Amino acid sequence: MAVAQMKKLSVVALEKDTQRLIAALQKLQCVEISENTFINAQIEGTLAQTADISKEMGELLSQIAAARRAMEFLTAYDTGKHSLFDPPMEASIDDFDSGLDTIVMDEVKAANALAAQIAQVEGKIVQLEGEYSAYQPWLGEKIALPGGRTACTRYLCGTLPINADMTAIDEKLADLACETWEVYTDKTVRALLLIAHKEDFNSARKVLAAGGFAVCPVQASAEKGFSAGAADQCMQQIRKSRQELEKLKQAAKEMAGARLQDIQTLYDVFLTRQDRLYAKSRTIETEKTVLISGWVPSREKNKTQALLEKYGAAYCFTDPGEDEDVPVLLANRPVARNFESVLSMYALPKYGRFDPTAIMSVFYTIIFGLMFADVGYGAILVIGCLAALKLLHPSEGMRQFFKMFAICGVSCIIGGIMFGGYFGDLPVALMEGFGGREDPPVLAVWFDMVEEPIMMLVLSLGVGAVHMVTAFIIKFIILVRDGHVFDAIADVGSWLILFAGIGVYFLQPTVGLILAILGAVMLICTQGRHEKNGIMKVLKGIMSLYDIVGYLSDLLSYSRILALSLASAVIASVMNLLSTMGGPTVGGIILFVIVFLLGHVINFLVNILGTYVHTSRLQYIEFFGKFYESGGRAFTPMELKSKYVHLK
Amino acid sequence: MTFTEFLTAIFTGQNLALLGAALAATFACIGSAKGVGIVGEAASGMLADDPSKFGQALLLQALPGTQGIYGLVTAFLILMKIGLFGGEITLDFAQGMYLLAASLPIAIVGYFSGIAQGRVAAAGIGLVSRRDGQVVKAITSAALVETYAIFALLVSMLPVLFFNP
Repeated sequence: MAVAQMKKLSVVALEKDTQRLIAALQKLQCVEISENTFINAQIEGTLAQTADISKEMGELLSQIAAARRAMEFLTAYDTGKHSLFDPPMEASIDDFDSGLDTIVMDEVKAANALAAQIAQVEGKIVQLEGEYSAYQPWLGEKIALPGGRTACTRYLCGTLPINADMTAIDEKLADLACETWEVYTDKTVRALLLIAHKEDFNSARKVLAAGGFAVCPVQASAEKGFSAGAADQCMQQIRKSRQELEKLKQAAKEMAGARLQDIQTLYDVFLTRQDRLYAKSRTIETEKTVLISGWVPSREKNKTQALLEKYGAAYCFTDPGEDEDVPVLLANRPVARNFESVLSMYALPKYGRFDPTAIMSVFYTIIFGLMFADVGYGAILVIGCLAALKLLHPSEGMRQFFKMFAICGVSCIIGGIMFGGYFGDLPVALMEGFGGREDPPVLAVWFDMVEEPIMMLVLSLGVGAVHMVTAFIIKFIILVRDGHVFDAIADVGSWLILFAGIGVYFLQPTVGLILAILGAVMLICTQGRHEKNGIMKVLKGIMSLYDIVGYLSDLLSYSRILALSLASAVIASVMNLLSTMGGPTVGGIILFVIVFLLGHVINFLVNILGTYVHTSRLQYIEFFGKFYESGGRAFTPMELKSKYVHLK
Repeated sequence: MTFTEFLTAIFTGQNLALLGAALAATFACIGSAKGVGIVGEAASGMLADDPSKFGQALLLQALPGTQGIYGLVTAFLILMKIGLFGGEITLDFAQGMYLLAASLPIAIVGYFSGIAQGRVAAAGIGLVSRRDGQVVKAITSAALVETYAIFALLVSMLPVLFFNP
């Protein structure tokens, strides 16, 4: 239960080995490469330019983008069945480093080419369909679309807005040798065919244009005769393109089935290479050598050492100096380890300082069990988490998360037995609703929290008091360990004595009172010690007693344990009441099943979220607030991080 | 019927208690609806950019929903106490007033804290959309607001639980 010890690693290796060495260190998954700190005046002159990786990085990023495009394209056509329960595929990163990557990259290019082809054909179809629909209104009119001209006449078709003043237009056209036919009208336009003598054609056209005449878009390409014929031809082209599209899509489906996984693997490989490049950018090269520095957890030292020996590199491990930025890795025992996520979501401790995960995990479990005390819900939680662990192949982080909830689930079951929660009061509701029994049994082993909420309140505040006193004791120990014994006694010890006095007061009033007064006097005497002014010393000391209001409100904050456990129990029993209302009939049993399932699923989901959030909050604010020294930087070693496949 | 008779006919203990249940459910649920609505609007903006954050958005959106549930719990407790689900109970005016008074904390606090929590959670959506892995911090700060709804629930629930006509 602590923050893992770190060693600072400094390596000098041959420049030609850089690539392979970084790849090998990445496979170890326990080395964080940090910004180089070797540089001093002596070697500065011999340095080559710091490795310029921007070009390499640019190439890699464009490859990543290409792979992502290919993946998105193929995923849409992937018909293979993928279940959540499939174990992740495994792939060897070495295969990819030795040539497989170029082969798969060709697949990526083929996929992207196919995507472009499909997009092109789809575009063509859209264009043709537009053309075809433009013919539609004119079909049935055995009229040649433009191009069909006689020796002396010209044709033009198009549309006028429906609100155009037709009488005015007709008047103007009357003087010209022309004729207009109204082909069709709809809500917005009136389609006209204009036939005019070639000499008057332009004037007639101008008259129409002044009225807002829009020339039909298909006429330019309709030299082929009657509109029906042109439309048919267009339709044929559409059919042909559609067939082509079908074929291409079939090809895409086949490609997705055969290649998608390869491409996903390649994508993961690229991401790990990005990590490597980033690490490389933090090294320094001379003409023949490379200088690498980084951090390694002490327990991984031998493994790293063996690898470096293999590459014939010169290296040394040193202990971190006083003011160095040492990364923090939490290292707890197997059970407590599962609660590390709660801590790291808040903040990591500083390097070398106290890691409260183990102590917190005990309180976390107890408070969770009190807040969600129900045998039924606890069992669902345990079974659900175990099933997820077994079937979903979760990542390490998720495994810890599920294990934590499984442990909390056990705590809920114990809580349910103590305070009588079995899906709320299901056994009682069943007996009353279906069995007609008037004297329901007592389910709770200890006490029923709905019947005796005050007992539950006392219990909640009691757990809170223990939680807070534990926080004070931790603070006390931290101060003593750092050698600030007086501070420990003055700032923390006096409060502990005061609290002890208040506690003892209920058993032994005189002793309690003496203790409490002793604590208070200690506070008054010591809390002003940093002030120079004598009056301020006394005032500050007396004012410090005011902090007790803060601690009291912290303590009251634990009453949420009662509120949340009551809320979930009461909603559960309401659901039970509603579901058993139908009585022991067929309809009543159907009603029971539906309302029971629906009601308890909702209650479970709402309360599991509430319990998780508020249990965490009690740790973060009421517990950590009193002693925790946060602010560590997380240890981020080069890893084989992967999204789709398990890289080895 | 005189006016006094009219009043006594309407303000029976039963009706007053029912009014309390109605107030608790109504205002706490409105508060939650507003809160959840505020977060939902903010969440849609984020989801347009990154649909994969739907799960996180849903968590944050669910948070201001609890006030409504607290109101519902209080309302149901009152309804059970006045025998709506079976068992003939008659309440006098004072008893009805007692239950009505008990419903007020969660009705009033539920309304305002639901909205306030919605605002904090919506701001949390902004945090989540810009930085990965911050959802727990967003949830925790929204949960701080809920503390006061929880206290109000306690003050509403305890008198109802202790009510024995």
